[in-house]
Amino acid sequence: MKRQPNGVNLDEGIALESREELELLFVDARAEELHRLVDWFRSDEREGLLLGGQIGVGKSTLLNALVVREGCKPDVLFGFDRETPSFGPGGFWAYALGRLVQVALKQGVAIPDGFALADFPEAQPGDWLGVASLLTHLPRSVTENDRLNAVHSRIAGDVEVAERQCRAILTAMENKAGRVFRIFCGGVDKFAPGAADTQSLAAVLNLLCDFKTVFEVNAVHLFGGTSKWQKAPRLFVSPFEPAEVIELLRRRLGGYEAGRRDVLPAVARFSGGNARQALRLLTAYDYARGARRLSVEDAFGHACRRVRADFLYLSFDAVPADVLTAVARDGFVRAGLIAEGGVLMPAGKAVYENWLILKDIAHEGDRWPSTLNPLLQAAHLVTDSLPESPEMAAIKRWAARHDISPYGLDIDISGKSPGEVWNEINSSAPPSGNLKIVELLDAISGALFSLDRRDRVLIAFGDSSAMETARDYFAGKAGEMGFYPFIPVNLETTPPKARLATLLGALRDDQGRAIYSILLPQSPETALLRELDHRRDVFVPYEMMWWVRLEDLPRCLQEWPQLRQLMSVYILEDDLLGSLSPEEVKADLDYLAVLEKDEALKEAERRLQHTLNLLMERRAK
Amino acid sequence: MSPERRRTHIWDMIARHAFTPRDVGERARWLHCFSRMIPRYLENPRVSPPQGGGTSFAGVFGCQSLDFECRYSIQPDRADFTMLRPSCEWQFGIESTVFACVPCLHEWNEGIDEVCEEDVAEVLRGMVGHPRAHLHIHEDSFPHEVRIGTGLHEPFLFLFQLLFQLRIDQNMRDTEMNRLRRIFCVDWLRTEHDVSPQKLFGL
Repeated sequence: MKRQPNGVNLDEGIALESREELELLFVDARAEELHRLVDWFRSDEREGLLLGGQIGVGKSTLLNALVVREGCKPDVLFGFDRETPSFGPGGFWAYALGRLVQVALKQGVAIPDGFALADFPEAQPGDWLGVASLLTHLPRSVTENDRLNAVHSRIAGDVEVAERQCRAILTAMENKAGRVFRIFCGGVDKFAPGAADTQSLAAVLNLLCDFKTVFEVNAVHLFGGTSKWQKAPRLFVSPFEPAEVIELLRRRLGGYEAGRRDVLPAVARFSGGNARQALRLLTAYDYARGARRLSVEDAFGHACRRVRADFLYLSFDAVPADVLTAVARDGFVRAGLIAEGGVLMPAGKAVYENWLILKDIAHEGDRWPSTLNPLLQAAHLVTDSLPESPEMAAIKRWAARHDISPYGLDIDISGKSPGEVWNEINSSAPPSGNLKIVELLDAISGALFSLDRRDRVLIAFGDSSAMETARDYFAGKAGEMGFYPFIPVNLETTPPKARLATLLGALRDDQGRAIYSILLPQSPETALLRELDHRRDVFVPYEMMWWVRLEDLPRCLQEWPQLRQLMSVYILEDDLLGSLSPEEVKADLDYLAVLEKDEALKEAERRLQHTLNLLMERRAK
Repeated sequence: MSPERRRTHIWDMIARHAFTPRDVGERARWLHCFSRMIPRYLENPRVSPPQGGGTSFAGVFGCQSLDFECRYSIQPDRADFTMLRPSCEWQFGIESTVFACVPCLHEWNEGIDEVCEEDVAEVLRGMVGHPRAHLHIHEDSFPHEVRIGTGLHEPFLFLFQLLFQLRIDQNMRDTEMNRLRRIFCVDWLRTEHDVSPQKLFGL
């Protein structure tokens, strides 16, 4: 991602990747962890390593720092979440085989016996590279998807052969190089323990742990694992200290730090040490202060509610109220309550969803110091010890007015059914306000119509015609700002089995100028939602508007513990004419009329004209 | 606090809150609004909307009745404005690695109570209406009323004042200046918040 050397660099908390980004924004607060990673990398001991931390804590950035800053480049890099074409035994083995074949060919190592080119339909004689490319890329069309599915079924029927061949390739490469290979396994954290996909993946990970592999995992994978790969030594990425969060935010604000300096201690406190949560809080606060002109007090409340909305979406029987109460009382969680026998327990779900924050590795026996996410606590408890300043006083006033957290530490839950608890939670804090089209445009344009950012918004709608008008209007405004093309992906009209392939096939923009408009089907299949969640990082490079029916929003967010982290959620108001006037659209068209038009502007004119026609029709009724 | 010191503060505040968009997204929006204002404000305008590439922007605007065109390019560390007349061409450049640092306004609390409308009017005059440092184009066919501000180091402020100057009609200028006075009023100086490009350009 392009960064501003002197300006503000806020985003949803995307991992830092390039040297430029790391030099500008990386906070060197994890020297010990980085040192241990470097030591692990440089050692020739064939030993695995689990690099584990909670969502948004900075694991990927740490791995990128290892590669870019420390020069520790892996011999083989797997991205199981981003690159595996399908999440089943055949898909994972095929991907692993494809990636290893690619590396082997680069090293000049012959592909050992096992699957042969004849096993892959339409493979050209001698073209292992073509086959490897097929196995390691997301399908670009439904036909390609069908072809891959056939290959995956073939491999799933003979996984022993795939395993033997992968092992043989790795061994042959190590023998040729005369040293132990370093393997990085990214994205394992997206697969929650106990889920079917995770079990399919485990077989591949078990093979890789016989070699020198670092696995990027969620904190919950560090507990109660029964698989061989989970027995590797562990390196826990703990939350940042408040001072480190402040430094991270100061870097993000660059030369504009002075304008927000006074609120940073409060943001740090409410972030719980989670880098992404801190960034999301600051981004929401910055928007509320800058664009909406809210007071410090109201802006901070807005930011907390906005980010906290992420946590509202749990199915009612998943609210681990007893666990939360126990952690608030005791200050620790027992390891045995997180995962057992490779399955997540209620406390583990709370950790996976970031309801609970594990503090650090200095645990006593099976007691892990932990705390409730500050956004789920009674606000005054979080602000009690903030420093004195006018800004802090304003935030404390907000905290005092919102003394009762909607989540339960202050709610007497004894004797209440999960349904009652859920209702209480749901009724106490609406997740996000309804926005009119123009307000929505204002809220999303800063991120979506910005060349140096790749953002995703999720817009829930009740009325389809309001959604269609809004979509045309946004497309027109995007074109007016030079963003083109506006690519619609209608998953509603796509056959269920082809939905994922259709979506992935559409993602071809490498200029950062396209905006994808993705309409989810009514009552989307759980399997589709979960697959989208696992593939979160596939969507990172793209500007996207996701549209979902209002009644499906809770389900989507429940199924997207990962993906929702990278989305801002809005609700589109139904009242079309109260939201956008024909005169406003006409003003846009008048402006476009005086311009010499390129394709983007021509598209903008078409879209806006269509919007105007719809509005006029609606008004005539 | 002396009027000069007060006005220095006011100048800084206006420049900072209305003419120093902080990131690429804000810069794009500012230039987009600027571009939209051109046909509303100028007679016989020429506009080519801002094109962005990463952190840089470039665009063209001008006034056909004055036979004047400005091609601008704004990058993170420099800005260039090429001004064209049939007879000649000038280039105005601003080079800096920090266009937009936030100055510290010490002792402002004392001065804020003394601020009056005249302070704001004087600042806007020196900034936009009659730029305190400026150049004229000495040609018979070119009006003397056009003053191109030269002492400005904020690229966005330079664009704004140039657009203002390209409209010769005094009534139009007065209306625009009154609109700006209403935006940067004394109450605004007390609350001190960013002025959105939509508001700045009256969109």
